[in-house]
Amino acid sequence: MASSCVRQLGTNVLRRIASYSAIVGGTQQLGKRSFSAAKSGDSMMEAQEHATGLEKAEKDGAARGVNIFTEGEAWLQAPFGTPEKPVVVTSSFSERIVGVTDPEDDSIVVWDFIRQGEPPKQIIENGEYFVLKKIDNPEDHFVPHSWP
Amino acid sequence: MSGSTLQRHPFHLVDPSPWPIFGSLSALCTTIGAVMWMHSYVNGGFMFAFGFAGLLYTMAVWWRDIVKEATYEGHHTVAVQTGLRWGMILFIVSEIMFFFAFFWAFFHPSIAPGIDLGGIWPPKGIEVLSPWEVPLLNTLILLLSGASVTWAHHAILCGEKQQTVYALGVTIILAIIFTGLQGLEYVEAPFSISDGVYGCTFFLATGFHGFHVFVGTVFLTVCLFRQSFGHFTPSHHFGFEAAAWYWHFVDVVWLFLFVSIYWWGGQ
Repeated sequence: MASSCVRQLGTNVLRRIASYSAIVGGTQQLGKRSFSAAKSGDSMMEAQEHATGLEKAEKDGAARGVNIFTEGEAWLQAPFGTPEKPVVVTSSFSERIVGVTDPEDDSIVVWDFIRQGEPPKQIIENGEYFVLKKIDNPEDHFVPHSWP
Repeated sequence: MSGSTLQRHPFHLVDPSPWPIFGSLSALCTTIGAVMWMHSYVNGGFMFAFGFAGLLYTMAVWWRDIVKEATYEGHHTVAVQTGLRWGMILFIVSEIMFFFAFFWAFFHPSIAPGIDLGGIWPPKGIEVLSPWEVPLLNTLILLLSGASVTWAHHAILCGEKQQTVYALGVTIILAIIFTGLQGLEYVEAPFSISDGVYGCTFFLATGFHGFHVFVGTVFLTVCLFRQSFGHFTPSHHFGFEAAAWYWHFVDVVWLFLFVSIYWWGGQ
């Protein structure tokens, strides 16, 4: 596991350097934005159409009356993990370390392994149930998962 | 936008960059080269120039990357902007500390002039510049430039693109006129930096101020280009605000210089 960890880390680092070089070298398309004195015309763009990326998401959320960093996102309001509907922990490996904070004191974290093939598992008493789901594509970490 | 691939916090964790180490090595090369140059070591001047060029290049590419991250990649959320605001404020405070030292250096001998100065200030033999000629004109020029940069800000807030460009242009032209006039004063001054403590404090204080005017002028010029490229919006234009704050700081330092060194110090 350590060697595949190192390999994954290495791949991530190389990917970062490659993307950085592409940005610096100007070969990577950063969306479809382009600015020039000729293109921007006589008027200044409004903030909503000008924003991109995380800033745009923040502004869109604010327009809906939601602070996207503290509320309004599905993962922040995810249902409590039960034995029937546990929290699905995605992993590229066959196990993953999960930490649960003590409900009484959130400076205390209790850690445990969640392993592939095991039934939904509680880490602390009266805590949420977790189950591992092995994924192949790193992008799948961000796709909402539910226990079948 | 589902936000599924977005980070869950509003802060900007920057990508790895070569510019900090590159800038550090350039600074090392600059300082060693400067010392070598001053002590007539072979290739000292070349080493200094090489390092200095590296520093200028670092500034250009580092700030270029910040513009890319902000305008083109959208990393500058409200939280990030707040951090940048505090950063700029604290930087300007550190610059105030810097000038405080030079004002202290001026007031120390001028409040209690020693026997070696003739017990008077300005010291015996120093022919001071009249504050009511070019220095007063420069004061008015900088004050007017402070007004024009405020005009530029209001124009941005109203979404008036072309007017912002005009106002920034006026500010920059005034800054260049100030610098030119100060240059003429320097050339024509009847005393030099080596003329005792008067010449030393005069040229160090006004000289460092002039350097800050140059920096501020470059900053405003960059803002002018960014504005004409459409980088700024009425609600998000912190780069411009930072430049305007810096410019007002430069103006205030000049007012202190004028009152203390030119006016009070010339009597």
